[in-house]
Amino acid sequence: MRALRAAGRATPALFLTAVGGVDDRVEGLEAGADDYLTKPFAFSELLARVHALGRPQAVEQVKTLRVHDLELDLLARQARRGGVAIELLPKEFLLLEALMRSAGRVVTRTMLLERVWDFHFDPGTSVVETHVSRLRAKIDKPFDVPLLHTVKGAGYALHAPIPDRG
Amino acid sequence: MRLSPIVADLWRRTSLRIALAFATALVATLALAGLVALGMIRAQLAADRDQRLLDAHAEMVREFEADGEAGLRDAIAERLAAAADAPLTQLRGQDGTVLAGTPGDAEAPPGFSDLALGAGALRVYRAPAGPGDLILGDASDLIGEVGEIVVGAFGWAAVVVLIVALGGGALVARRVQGVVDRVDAAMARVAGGDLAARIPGARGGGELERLAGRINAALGRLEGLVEGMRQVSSDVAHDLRAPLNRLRLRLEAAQAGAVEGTPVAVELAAALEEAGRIDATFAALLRIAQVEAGARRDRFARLDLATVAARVAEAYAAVAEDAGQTLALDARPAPVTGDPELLTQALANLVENAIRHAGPGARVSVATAAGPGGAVLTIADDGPGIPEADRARVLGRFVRLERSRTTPGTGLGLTLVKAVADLHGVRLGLEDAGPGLRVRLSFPPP
Repeated sequence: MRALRAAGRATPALFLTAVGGVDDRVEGLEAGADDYLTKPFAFSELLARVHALGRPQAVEQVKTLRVHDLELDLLARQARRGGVAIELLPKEFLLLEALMRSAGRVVTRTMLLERVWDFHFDPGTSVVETHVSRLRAKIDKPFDVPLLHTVKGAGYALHAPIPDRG
Repeated sequence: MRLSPIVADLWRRTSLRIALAFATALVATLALAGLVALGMIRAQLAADRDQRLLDAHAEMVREFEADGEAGLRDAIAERLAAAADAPLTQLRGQDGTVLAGTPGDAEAPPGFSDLALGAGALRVYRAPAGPGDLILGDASDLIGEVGEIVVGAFGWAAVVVLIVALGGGALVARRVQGVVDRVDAAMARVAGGDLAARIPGARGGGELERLAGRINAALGRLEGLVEGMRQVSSDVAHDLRAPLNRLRLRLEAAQAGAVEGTPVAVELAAALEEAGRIDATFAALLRIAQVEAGARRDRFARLDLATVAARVAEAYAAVAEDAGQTLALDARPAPVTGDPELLTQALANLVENAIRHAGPGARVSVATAAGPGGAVLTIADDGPGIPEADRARVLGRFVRLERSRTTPGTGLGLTLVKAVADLHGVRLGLEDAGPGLRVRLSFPPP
């Protein structure tokens, strides 16, 4: 892994391993891996993470994320939909950012827990569900078209309305 | 014939062999010491005898110088009369004739010489005196006698040493062998699978008893661990059968639906959810095992419990609100050494428990503070609490009180909290918050 990165290869890499300690994870990420998944894992989880890795790296430099009529200004930390400003709490902002960065792709609960709360364990209760529902109330409810979708058994996906697809 | 196996068995015993070797070495040392002593005594006795002859000669020469030949003859007669066994005392002229004293013409060279005399030996000294040569003999067999005494004494001593060494060795061998045999028997039982086997008679101050005591302690720990593992596996098997059965029912329903052509999406989603719960249970079990093994202590770092509390409270405030509860945070700086991720998870589990079991309208509070005895983290709610009789029990794996059977959860949340607390040397207290439950984590003093 280190050799690959030293050679200047930016190929996305995900460690899939049975070694799941925090140190091992940190070591893997420091070596240049983009993500880390420990066994046992759900296939949907791996799929979502691989999809997330496949996104263009250029997205990192974007200052404003856009999905349909929803805009997220990363510098001003402002969300707008259809020109209407939406007040978001810090965690709601991070949640929306995580979803928008992977717009059109499934983001799992575990991924959200890691990216928004930095929780590397699975809390039994509905931390993610609660915040998603609050976010949904702010970005979807007042508007006609829902953008934030629940993908049953997998996670969430934020995408523009597509005809004939639920 | 019947003795030979016993002898062979005795010979195999290391301690007896050591005793034998020791006895042999002792006897050899004793023999060597005897020989050296004998040699030294003999040399001393011989020197004394020669000195006596020299003294006698000098005395006679003085008599001759004082009183002439008559004085010398008197002295010779006196020497012959004084000793009962009449030692050789002879004055011989220049021509070899005997002038006075013991008759006989035994050849004696000038100076010291040894003459054979019957069975014994005669030490002879010849030196000029007066008109001729004075020949003086000393037949005392002191040297031979002393030699016999010394050899006899050392011989007997050797016999006694041999008996004592062998007897003592056998005693020591029996004692050592007794303990070794007991250890051997106990370990054979352990190897056979009986972990309850212990070495009898492991009390006492001796090092062998101490060793046996240590082995017993190790066996006790081993037995406890294995018993714990058995308990865990049976708990796991027992508690995972129910969700697996539910999963199976869902899948069977989906299968039936697929055959009949009715929609199966609901059943499959429910099956997936069930599988997710099983997965969560395993993840929790693995986590607990990892924490209990203490493998994570090398990740300890200085951290502020207030930060951990703030993170968890921020994540759960909305959850509590949706449950019709309030979550209050009173985070004061409380520096501790620990694993931030594990502490976060433990606190998250406790907050989740409070939200889940305290009921609507409850007030949940999280507080951190630094005390003189160490940092303290408390999570309190004003729900129904836990009856005192159940407080110790709820820390075990899969323990779920009757009241909360219907709520979701793995029954492993508090088990993980307990494991994390143990890893950090934290005293975990479940108290009555009157009403409600207060969980207090008292960290060791910094």
